[in-house]
Amino acid sequence: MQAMHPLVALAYYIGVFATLFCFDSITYTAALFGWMLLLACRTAGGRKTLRLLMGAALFGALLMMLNPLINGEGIHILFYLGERPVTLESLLYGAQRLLLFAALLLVFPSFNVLLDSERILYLFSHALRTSALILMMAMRFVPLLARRAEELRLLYRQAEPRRLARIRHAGRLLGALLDWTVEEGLQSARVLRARGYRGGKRTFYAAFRFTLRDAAALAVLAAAIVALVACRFCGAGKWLYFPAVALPAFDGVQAAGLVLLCLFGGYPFLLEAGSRLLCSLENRKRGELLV
Amino acid sequence: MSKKRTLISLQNYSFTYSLGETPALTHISLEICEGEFIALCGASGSGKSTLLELLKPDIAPCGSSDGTLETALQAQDAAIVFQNPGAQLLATSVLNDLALPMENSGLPPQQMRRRMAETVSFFGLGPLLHRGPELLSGGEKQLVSLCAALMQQPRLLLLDEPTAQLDPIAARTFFDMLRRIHEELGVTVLLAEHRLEEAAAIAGRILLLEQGRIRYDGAPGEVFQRIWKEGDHAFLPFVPQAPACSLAIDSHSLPALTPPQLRERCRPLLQEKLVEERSTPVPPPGEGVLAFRDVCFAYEAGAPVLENLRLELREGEVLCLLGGNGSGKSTLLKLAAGLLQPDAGRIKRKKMRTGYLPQSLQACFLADTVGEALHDSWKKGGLPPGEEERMIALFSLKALLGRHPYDLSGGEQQRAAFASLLLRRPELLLLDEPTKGLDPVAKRFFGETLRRLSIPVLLATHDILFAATFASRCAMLFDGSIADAAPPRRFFQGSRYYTTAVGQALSPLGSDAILFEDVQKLCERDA
Repeated sequence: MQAMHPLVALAYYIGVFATLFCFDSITYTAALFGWMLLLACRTAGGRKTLRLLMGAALFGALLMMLNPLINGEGIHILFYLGERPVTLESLLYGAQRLLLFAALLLVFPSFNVLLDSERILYLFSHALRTSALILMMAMRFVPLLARRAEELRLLYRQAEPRRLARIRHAGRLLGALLDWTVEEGLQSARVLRARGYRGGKRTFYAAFRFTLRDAAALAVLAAAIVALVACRFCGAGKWLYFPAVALPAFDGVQAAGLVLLCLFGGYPFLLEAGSRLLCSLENRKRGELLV
Repeated sequence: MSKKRTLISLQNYSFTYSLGETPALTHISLEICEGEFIALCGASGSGKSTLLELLKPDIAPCGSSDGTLETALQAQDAAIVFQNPGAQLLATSVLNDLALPMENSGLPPQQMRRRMAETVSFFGLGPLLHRGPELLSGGEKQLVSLCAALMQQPRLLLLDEPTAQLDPIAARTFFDMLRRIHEELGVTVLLAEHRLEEAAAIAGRILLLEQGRIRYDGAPGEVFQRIWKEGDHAFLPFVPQAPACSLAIDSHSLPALTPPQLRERCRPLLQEKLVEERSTPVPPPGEGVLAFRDVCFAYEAGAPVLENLRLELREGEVLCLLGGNGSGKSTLLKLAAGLLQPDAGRIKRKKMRTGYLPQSLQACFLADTVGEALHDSWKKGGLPPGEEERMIALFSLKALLGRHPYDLSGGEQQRAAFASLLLRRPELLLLDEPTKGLDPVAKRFFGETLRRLSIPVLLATHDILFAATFASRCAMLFDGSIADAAPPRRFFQGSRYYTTAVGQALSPLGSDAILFEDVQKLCERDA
């Protein structure tokens, strides 16, 4: 998907976010979680993904465990914790939320690669020319502001015994940070002017050609999203957790929804496989290579 | 021979800032011809930056002018590179920064890509293209800024002290690139610079400004010779080491401008072995006031900045830390100041009032005026009445008291910040690049002040000549630890890159001379 027009990746991620929040079935969420895990490993590397998962695991596990303790709804009581009933419904609901949380977290490593700042700027720069430039500068200067604030905090940290003095000191630091930021903003404006920015018509360096292949990929993606929405309206992936877990019968709609969702989640891999297949077919057509 | 085309002509041109009382430029008459390489020099506030900015209409300052300024250039024909490497990169990656000037000019994508490909190859910046600015060293940032300026394909390149914050090696790389741009692409260059050592060797013409007026204009060798013969004390400190030494040997012929040329001039003086000059007396070691014992530090796991670093600062010594951009000098000073904590090892510091001057001077000023900042420091320092006025007079800050610290020039900011620090009565000084932006006269004054204070000073600098002149000891930080620490003469002797121009010239002849005064001694002995 990295080789394709950013619009395809944008459509894919819009679809991912929509389906994650549309379907509340554990199986559907688990399927999306699996695809996001694979995609994160493929684009950002297994080590980085694992680190991210480890960090989230504690918070997720806490979320899953806390839900049955706080939420006492449901009729299938598994056991009592003190006087509080722990129900099957709340446990399942907690598990679904944990999967949703982990899947959401796993979207970002691949998102950062497949839709990096250059691609995002390209997508929005045509519609919002000046805003795109401001967005790019904000992406550079917001972390810089944080570093400046940290530098001032380190330099002037002092244990003021009185609260009023502490507030006054913090105010002075904030004032200095603002002065510094404004001064740097003025310098940046001067550099921008020196680099020929006059607020007029600009062109864009990054150029991604929208080919027939992109159009076809986008059409398939759009069709899949529409079909998924239709399945959702027909009751696919809909679970009722409370007051009692009501699993819908695994009928044709459910099966179609799940297959569609799996195809949609794995779309980047399908594209990659398709592209490789096409390449190898074209290679076969070429004449013999003499070495 | 055909006369070169005049790009810019100033006739009796004066300029006063809209809020200024005195003119920043007075009766400037100057012609800049196509293909010239001009070095512009002068004390802080002499009008160098004003002149450069006036030649770039996009950023020309507001004010009133008199006289004529004629230019054969369009606005986009002139490009400028500023002093601060960090402030010139505006985008999230080098590629985006380089594309910015072309995007602003509205070039079609295909033309942009071709220009990008050839310019990036010319600069050898390919490996940096997708890096963020926070991952570049100071030298790399300035090369990227220079490359971005070249993306506009300018006919005139203006540079405002571009190497002031670079280490000597990075500065040399920058000057090499500038020479190639001038020679191979034929771009006209106007370079404002305090570091005349390298600039004089590649510039065909030199302009020296004093209080907004042109005092000297001519070929570098001729200008230096005139200053020498006239004994012009205001400009003698601006004469770089190589020409100064060769003029001390023979003031009748044009001076040497590079270390190899100086070596040939000095060869006759060094026929006999210099035994007595070799043994520089080393001051007896005083009591240790600050000691790093196997200190390790990393901002991020797996990327150590300091590794098992050992260093000791003794009572009364000025210890200069040298090393490339990003070698960890500032980190070491922050650790010494207690602003950062080591990951391993110990830092032993005698209990004493410590003054710390950070590299970003903006962080030094919490007050709205210089006067307020100095008064605050005087109150906190508990010095007797009258000391504040004495410090103001000593650092010539009287005229700046009512101004906001950010409105001062780089050199003035350094003076104000240092005076403010001294009013706090420090017993130990930790200074990060304190000579950045100072002209040679201010630098000498600063060095002499440090010596007079006779308190321990740990100072990070890129200024080799300053370290050679005023340090008691120099230490080289490399690969996270101290590669070598020794008194300046022993430290710089034999170095090929990290040494003064005199050291570079005379070291191959077996001499340990590193300063102008050493060559003067040789001349006296020869006479």
